[in-house]
Amino acid sequence: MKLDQFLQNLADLLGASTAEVRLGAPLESLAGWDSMGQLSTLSLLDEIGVRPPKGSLQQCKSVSDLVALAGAKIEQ
Amino acid sequence: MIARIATHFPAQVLDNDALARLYPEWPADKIFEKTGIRARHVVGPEETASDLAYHAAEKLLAGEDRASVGFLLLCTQTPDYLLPTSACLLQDRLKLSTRTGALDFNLGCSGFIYGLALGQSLIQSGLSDNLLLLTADSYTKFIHPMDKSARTIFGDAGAATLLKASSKNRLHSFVLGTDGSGYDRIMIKVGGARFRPGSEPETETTDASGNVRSPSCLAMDGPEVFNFTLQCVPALVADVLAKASLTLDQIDLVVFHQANAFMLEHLRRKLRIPKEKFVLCLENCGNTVSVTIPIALESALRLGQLKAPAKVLLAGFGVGLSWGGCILEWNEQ
Repeated sequence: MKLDQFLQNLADLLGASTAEVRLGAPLESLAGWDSMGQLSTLSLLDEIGVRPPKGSLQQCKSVSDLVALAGAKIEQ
Repeated sequence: MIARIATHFPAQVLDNDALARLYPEWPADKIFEKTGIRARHVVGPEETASDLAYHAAEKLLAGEDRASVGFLLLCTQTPDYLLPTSACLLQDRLKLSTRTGALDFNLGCSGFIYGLALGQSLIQSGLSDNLLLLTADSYTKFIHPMDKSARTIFGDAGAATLLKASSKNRLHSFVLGTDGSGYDRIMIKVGGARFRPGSEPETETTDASGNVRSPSCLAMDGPEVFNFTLQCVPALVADVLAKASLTLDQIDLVVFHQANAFMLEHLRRKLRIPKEKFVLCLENCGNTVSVTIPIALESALRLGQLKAPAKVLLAGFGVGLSWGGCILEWNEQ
């Protein structure tokens, strides 16, 4: 998945704008980043074949960390 | 094998509007959008899971010869007492014969499947021709009022399922599994023998999502449970189908544990299960733990979604971590 598409999908799932969901943006600044938002993010990662190791999602602090978690599954 | 199912819900209802007043950041429509739940039934202060099981069993046994019930299995994680076994109290309350075997087993979301497997095994062993499988839970008694992640999901209910030595509505191809390394993903830490009530301060903690808990409350790590589900369920479905020598195309109906609609819809799409073959039944009752599958089966029968003859794939997964699946050959209403 292309990076722009990933960020767009993430923004849709978190109920945020693409201006808010940008690389480097702190996740805690996004109102949708709660337990429900984390489930949505896991579903997005699963759709592109990424299963984060236990606890790794909770350690993500920024949108960039989520992109890093997806690794090569996202085309930069 | 499955002769009849009856369910019972407590009278008190907690809807999304009431929850949204407590959690203003989660409006009622957002709760529904993310969980697929509009309302859940909750027990009153004097009501327990065994009461719910009792009322479901009374509905089921109306017109039945109670003396013919040879065994009672109760699946609950919220028993009346640490001891004695709640199933013993129910044997007396339901006026079953004192020759009835009775025991509790402590499982959650996989509990109905385990109950079917145990019940079928007891019947096939010749120990009993008629077995009463009760599943009931009242998680809401253990949820902190400000734990929105759990309170929006869970509801209370009881179900009674009559299993009979018969080739009708046959069960087969059971697959069961356990991964106790994930024991803390859904947990009530205090209250058992390892951590007695009062053994540690009832300190409230708030997680990053704003959910409040104390050690004697239910704690659920929702994202990690979802992660487990994504790994477990596709493999479980594949294992059951392989054991039954069936393909998904040959399955008429899929009934999963009704965890929450978001998770179920993701699993449905991931497994490419057609919508018309997939049961969603939690809008007005929430996630009732070991009761979700019998509630969904009873509803599917009532709505005509389950009609004989049908091959039904059942799967339960969650707290433990524990999972189980099987095939139900439904051939008689």
